[in-house]
Amino acid sequence: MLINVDLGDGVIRQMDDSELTPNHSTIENDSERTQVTEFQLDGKVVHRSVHVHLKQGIGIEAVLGSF
Amino acid sequence: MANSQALASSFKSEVMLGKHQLGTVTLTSRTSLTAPTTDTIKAALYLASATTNGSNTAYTATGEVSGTGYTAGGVTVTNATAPSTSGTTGIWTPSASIVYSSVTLSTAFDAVMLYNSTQGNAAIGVYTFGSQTITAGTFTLTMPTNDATHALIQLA
Repeated sequence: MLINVDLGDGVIRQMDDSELTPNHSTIENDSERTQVTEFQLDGKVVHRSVHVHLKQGIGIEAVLGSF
Repeated sequence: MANSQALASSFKSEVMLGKHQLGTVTLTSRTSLTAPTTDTIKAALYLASATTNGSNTAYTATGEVSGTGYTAGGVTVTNATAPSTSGTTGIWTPSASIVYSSVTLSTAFDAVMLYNSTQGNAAIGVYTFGSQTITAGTFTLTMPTNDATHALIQLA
């Protein structure tokens, strides 16, 4: 499978994943669940994609005044 | 029976629909007065070092991320689900994930601002998440469930 990589020059190229070392991690807390997919080449991260699943938005209370 | 005072639940979603105009405001035309078109909502990313928050009244390029594949101003939000009411809470959530594809964002970022690009880039809200960088990859923000306790905007 071809993976988009940036070797540090800001140019996005493609490399076969067999040449890269994958690393997957997941972080979860009360507000988000985040999955990170990394591929390294010679110990350097050349691909990093992140998927953040927001668990909750922002609540606003509308208050009715009184006489 | 007894009367009780309350804001109409329907009003809370109708505010987000622009149904009520309680004062004068300068608007960009929505084509029709009686059946106005939906505004375009955009999402811009901000560096972890920025100070973007609820005091921002409009989109700003100050503190916005930059990098390969990222266009200043961010991306258009898919908005196919109109604001509605869940119980007594007005709710709205974009109808699809917000996706930044094939980008390299080397400086850490931790916030996204939703803003109304049709109406002078008026700010809607800033949402934060764990600090991230992206390398030749995709950054995806998946939306919460569109209900009274999780929706991206809850007007209770």
